[in-house]
Amino acid sequence: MSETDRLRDLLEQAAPENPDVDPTSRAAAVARRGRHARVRDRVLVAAAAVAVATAVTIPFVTSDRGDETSYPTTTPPVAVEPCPAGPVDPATLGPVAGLGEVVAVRACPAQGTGEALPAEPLTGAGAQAFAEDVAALPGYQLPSFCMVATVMPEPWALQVQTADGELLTLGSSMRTCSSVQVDGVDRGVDGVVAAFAGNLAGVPDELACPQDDADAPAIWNASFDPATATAGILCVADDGGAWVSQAVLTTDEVAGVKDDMATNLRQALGGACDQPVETPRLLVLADDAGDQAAYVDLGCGEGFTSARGTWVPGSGTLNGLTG
Amino acid sequence: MNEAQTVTEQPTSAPTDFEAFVAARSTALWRSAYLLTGDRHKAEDLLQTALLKAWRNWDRINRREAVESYVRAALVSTYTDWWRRRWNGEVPTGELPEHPAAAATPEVRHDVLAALALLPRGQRAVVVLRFFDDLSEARTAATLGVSIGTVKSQTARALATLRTSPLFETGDRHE
Repeated sequence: MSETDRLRDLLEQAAPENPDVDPTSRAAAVARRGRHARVRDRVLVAAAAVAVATAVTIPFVTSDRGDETSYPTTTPPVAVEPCPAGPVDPATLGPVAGLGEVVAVRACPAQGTGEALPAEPLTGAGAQAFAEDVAALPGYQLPSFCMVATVMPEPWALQVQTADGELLTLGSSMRTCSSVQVDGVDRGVDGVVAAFAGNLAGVPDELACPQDDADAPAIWNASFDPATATAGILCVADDGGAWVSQAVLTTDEVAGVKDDMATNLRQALGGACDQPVETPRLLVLADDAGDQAAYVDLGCGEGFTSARGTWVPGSGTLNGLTG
Repeated sequence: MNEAQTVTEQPTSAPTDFEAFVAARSTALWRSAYLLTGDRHKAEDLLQTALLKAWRNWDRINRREAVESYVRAALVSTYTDWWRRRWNGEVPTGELPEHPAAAATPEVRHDVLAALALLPRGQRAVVVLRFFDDLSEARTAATLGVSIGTVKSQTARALATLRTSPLFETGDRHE
C-alpha cells in the first residue's frame, strides 16, 4: 500500500460514519440561524442609519417583528459596570424577566473551569443586537445528541446592563445541552453565548495584515463580495515570511479596486506557480461588518488569486501603492 | 472513499433546494469537518456555519452544481479563519468524545487526529481535501483559493510531518 493510500485509509477510518444531527434538523437549524442573523443585521444597519441622521431628532426604525424601537440621535458613552468581586456561581442564577433596552453586555468570571469568554464588552448597537438575538431564540428543545453525548461543564456568565442601570446576569454551568430562562421562555445556552460572541465578532477590528505564513493566509473567504468592500490594505512578505503592511488603501483606492474587480476578477484560477517567490503581495479587503477576504499575488505574473478566482488588475489600479 | 458529488436537481423553491442539498451532501461534509476539527460538536458547528454562508447567499449562487464547491470552500475558509479564534490550541487528547455507535477503532481515530493536529491549519485542510474528499490538485487549489504549486508544497510538507506518526510505519513510503 502506498503512503497516500495508507493516508486515505486512515482518514476514512478516523471519520465517523454518521453525525449526531440528522440533515433535516441541520437544515432547520441553519435556516433559523440565518433568520436570526438577518434580524441582527437589520438592527445594526438601522442603528448605523440613525447615527448619521443627525438632522432628525427622534428617528424610528421598524424591526423584523413590526414593533417600533427608537434610537437616540447620538449614543452617549456607556460606563460599563464592573463584574462582581468574585466568580459568579451559575447555580445561584434564576430566570430573567426580560432584557429590555440593553446598553452593555460583558462576560464575567464564573465558578469552575473552562475557556473564558472574551473580556471585551458589547455596547451600543451590538448590545441591543444581543438582546434582539436572545429574544429571537426559539423555545429550547433538548437536541437528540444530548441524550447520548457526555458533555463536560463549561461555566459562563454574562452581565447585562440595561438603560435604567439595572444589572441582570445570565449564566449556566454548560455551553450546550442546557437552557436559561429569559422572558418566560427557555433559551438554549449555546444560542445565548453565540449571540454574545457573534455580535462581538461583528465589531470590526482595525484592518491589519494577517499573522500567517506567507503562502497560507488564513482569510480565504469564498462568500466575500468585493463589491461590499469599504477598506483595504496591501501587504508584502518580509524575509521571514510574515506579512507586513505596505499601504493602507484610501477610500478612493478601495473604490478603484472594486471597480476594477467588477471587470477583471475571473472565476478561473491561475496555473501552477512553482517558481521561488521573493516578494509575494497580499491585498486584504474588508466590509463594514468586519468580514475580510485575501487576494494573493505570488509573483508569477498571473495576478491576485482569491477564493473567488483570479484578479488581474487593470492598468493603473494599484499604481501608487506598489511604487 | 468519500467521493465528491454534485447536486444537479433544481427544485423550484430555494428552501426546498437548500434542504435537498443538506439532505444529500451534509453528512459527507460533516465527516470532512470532523477531520478538520477532531470533534463531533465542533464539526457540526463548523458545518452549520459554512452552510449558513450558503443559505444567506443562496440566491447569488447561480449554478446549482457549484453549491457543494461553494460550501466546501466556505467550510475550509471558516476553519482557517475565525475558527482558530474560538478553538485555538485544540489538541486531541484521551478525553475525545466518542459516539457510542461509532464503528471505527478508537485508538486509530485518536492517533490519526493526533497526527493531524501536528499540521498547520492550511496543511490540514489540504490533506483533508486531497486525501479524504479526493479532490484533484486543481480543485483543491480552487477550493482554498491558492495556486496548484501551493497545494503541492503544502501536501509535501504535510506528508513529511505525518511520516513522524507511528501510523505510517507499517506502510511503504512510496507513492
